[in-house]
Amino acid sequence: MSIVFRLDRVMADRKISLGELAKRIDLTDSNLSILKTGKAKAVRVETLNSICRELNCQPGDIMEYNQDEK
Amino acid sequence: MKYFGKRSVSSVISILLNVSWYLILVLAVVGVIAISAIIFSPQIQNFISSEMAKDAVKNAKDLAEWNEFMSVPLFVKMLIFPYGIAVVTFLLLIIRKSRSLFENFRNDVVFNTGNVRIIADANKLLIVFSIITFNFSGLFTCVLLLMLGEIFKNASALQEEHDLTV
Repeated sequence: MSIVFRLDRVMADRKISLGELAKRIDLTDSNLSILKTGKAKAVRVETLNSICRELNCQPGDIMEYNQDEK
Repeated sequence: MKYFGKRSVSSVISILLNVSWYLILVLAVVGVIAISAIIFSPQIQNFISSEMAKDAVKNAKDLAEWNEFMSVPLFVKMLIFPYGIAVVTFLLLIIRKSRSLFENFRNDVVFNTGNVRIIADANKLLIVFSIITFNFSGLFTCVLLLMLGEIFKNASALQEEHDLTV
């Protein structure tokens, strides 16, 4: 995939665990893990909205377009 | 009515397929013993002939067919065994595939690549079964099954996309 998720980096900056974030945005741990590891095929705007709200960041902070990675 | 999961239609069909699997196996063994007895035992052949001859007028057609069967050479009669084994084997394989499909339905596993493969395999088996049993109307069922397989293929792709949507 060309879109790479940098969720782990932002989470480390905010010092928040996967379980804690999943709880705050009302998502299962496994679904958030799918997003974090880049296995997700699609992301709901609602989910992105919740993540940005809880991590106090912009969508561009948690994902970026990478031409090298496929 | 519940179609998938525990205590559903799929669950009942799964049990029925399990029962029919063992029933066909037992009937096949009984059939082999009975046919062997008819072909190889002169006592049984005489018994059948005498029973039919008792009411020759009523059993005229059956008696004629029996006499025709008896006049066939032994090696030709023995061809019934490989043919019967092939028919029973394909029937059991079809039941086994159907059984695993309905077992998956019972466990609420409906649209996945495993089921697509099972349907495709069952379809191939059904084509061969229809041809060897000269049941050409069964080929129509194969076309329907082929379409069902394509529907399951598309549905499993959608299911995967849904599962990986966060």
